[in-house]
Amino acid sequence: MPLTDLAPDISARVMTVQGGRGIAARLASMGIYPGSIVTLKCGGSIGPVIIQVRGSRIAIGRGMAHRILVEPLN
Amino acid sequence: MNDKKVIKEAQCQRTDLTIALAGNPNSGKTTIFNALTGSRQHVGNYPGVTVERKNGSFRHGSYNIYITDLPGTYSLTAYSPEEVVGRNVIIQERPDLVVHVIDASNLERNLYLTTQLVELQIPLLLVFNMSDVARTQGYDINTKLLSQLLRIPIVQTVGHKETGLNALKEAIVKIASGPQQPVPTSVHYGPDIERELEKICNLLEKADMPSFPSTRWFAIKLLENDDVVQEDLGEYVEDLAPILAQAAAARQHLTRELGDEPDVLLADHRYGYISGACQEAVRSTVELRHTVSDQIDLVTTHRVLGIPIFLGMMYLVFKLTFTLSAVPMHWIEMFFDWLGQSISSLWPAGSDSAVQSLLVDGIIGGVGGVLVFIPVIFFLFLAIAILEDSGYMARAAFLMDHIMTKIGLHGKSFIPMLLGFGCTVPAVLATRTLENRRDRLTTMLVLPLISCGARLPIYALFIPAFFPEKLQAPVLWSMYLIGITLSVALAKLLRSTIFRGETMPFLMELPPYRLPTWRGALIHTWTRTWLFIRKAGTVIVAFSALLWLLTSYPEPPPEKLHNLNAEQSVSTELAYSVAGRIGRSLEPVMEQVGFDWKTTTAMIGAFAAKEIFVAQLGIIYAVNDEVNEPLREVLKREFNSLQALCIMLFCLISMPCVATFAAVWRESGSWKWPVFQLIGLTVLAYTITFSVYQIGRFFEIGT
Repeated sequence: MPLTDLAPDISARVMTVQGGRGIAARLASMGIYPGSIVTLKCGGSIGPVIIQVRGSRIAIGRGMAHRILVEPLN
Repeated sequence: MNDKKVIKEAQCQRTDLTIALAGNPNSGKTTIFNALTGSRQHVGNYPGVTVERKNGSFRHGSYNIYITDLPGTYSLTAYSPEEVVGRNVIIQERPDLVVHVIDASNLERNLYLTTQLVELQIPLLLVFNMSDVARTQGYDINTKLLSQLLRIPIVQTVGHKETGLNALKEAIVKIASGPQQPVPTSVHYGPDIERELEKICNLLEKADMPSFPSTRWFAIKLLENDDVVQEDLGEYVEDLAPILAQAAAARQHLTRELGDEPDVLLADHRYGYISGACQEAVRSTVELRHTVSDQIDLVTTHRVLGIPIFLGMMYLVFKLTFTLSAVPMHWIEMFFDWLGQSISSLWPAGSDSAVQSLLVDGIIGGVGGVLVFIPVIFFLFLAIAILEDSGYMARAAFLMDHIMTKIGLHGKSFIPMLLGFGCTVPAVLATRTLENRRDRLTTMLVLPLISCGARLPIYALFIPAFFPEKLQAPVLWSMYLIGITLSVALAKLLRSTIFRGETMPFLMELPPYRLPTWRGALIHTWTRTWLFIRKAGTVIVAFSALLWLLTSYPEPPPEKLHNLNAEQSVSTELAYSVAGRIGRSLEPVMEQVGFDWKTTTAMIGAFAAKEIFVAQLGIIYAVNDEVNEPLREVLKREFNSLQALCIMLFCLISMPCVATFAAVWRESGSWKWPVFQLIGLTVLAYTITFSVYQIGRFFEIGT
């Protein structure tokens, strides 16, 4: 599911990052890459979202967040 | 005796070492840079780009160490000018050592940059900063083991407490000046990728390549489809085409075989390597629990509460700024009054000396009128620096992003706009944080519409003169509001016409909240305040002098001044001067917006710097403008409130000052943009003021 659909405070594993020209590499350099564990901290229906990746919090614009596909952990 | 002499000589001769400081944003790199260099630092520019260059130095033992603080980056690709600049410094200047500052509480992500630095094959030292935070978060890092696994020396520090600094200096000196260190282990990218890399390397080796960095580094970059490296290679490789073709083929092959783009694959391997090392050397003892930062964020980024809290913060910032600066402003005013009088007294009373006039009215008047606002600007920038250093600004940008995107701007545009309330020049420079050129240009072009500190003298003069006490604060408030509204509207317009296109997606790390250090905040504040002062010292002095010239010469022949009273003779003298003539010729146009030719003449001066406008008015209306009272009386006589409002409006909207013009020119890279801005804003100012004046006159409001 896209990151934006995740429920808050649930951890999920990143499966793929859709998107062209360097978006994936960019996100990877910030810690968001296939295999990393993320937790949605601040979602809502509009505006950017905030996720927690390991020790850091990153704010991601909605469009980009929508293209990060994750799988909730159990 | 001989020994002592030798030792003394050795002490006088110092060896120079150069190092570069690299690291993620928010890793505490700058705090360490400040702690090492103290005040011995200098901020400049890298030629050709708008990335800041920070240099500093310190001494340790018998060494002079020169440090360059590289821009904070997450990697060394070609996606942003900061990253390119960072790696160019390393490649072209080959420092003796690269000191990589790492946020120990965020180890794996930070080590990503390390893997790339290792590939540059330059001596490396890792600084595990924020080790206190890492410990409280339950991370137990065996730095000795990790250092062995990575084959890179590690030093631990707590930057803002200055713990571990001495050990750091020792390590820097030892490694930078010492013998060759063991080569750190480089990431192995798996058999498929390594095979492709080898093929590219073989081709590269046949060409005449520089020895540093290694061909492997170039091969990796080519596989990543790095634009900048491709361009650079074109410079020294004659037949680049087959190499590029091989790289392209390799990319295709790998994408097909392994199912992902090479840069993603490479990232994957890098993290795999990092993971492996960390699993051995890092124990996580406590579950990642809610930190204090988390708890604060619950409130500050709350969907409902977030924005009101933000507005509250902004209100606090402005209120504090104006309250704290009142007293210092008074002192500065008194100083300049005293200065003006002392200089005047060097001439006999009633003297007609041109030099006296130039010094007292022109320069002291002009510059004094500006410098009196230093406290306001200083406190505003201090408040902003504290908010930035504490980490709140990132949340503010996050909150503003949604609204800003609706206007057509980026969340990060909000910080330059905030700075614009102090002085437009540092605001223009702050647009550097916007990666997208369209976003950056749009923000730059609308910035002058925000009421900067320079307009305050104008408001301070006109508002009390023409509006009753009850209306004074609302009128001032509305000037600010109009500025903001116009900038928003104009931004929207620009974005839907010339700068059409997608906004950059918002991607920003929210650093944990931190208590700002006084040193950091003050350095931050001072850099920006200094820009304002320097503008005053240079531009305003020069233009005050120039304008004094333009408004005093040529002088009318004495017969014309016969039988005129003081006011009339000043008027005639003005009419004769260059500026006066320009003012008179523009009169028919400017009358339509409520100006008369004298005010128009003063406006010409305002192009240099808005602050000069008031001083010019003082001269033109033949009043000693040290005390605003008489000038206010004169203005009350000459204008009605509608005209006063229009004058203020025109000043608000039009003509960014020369310093802004220069800053926009430099930051946008072309003279076309500041000229476009100048013409556009002047036209806008005229149109709006025209409408207000004519409508006001029609309905007889304020006349």
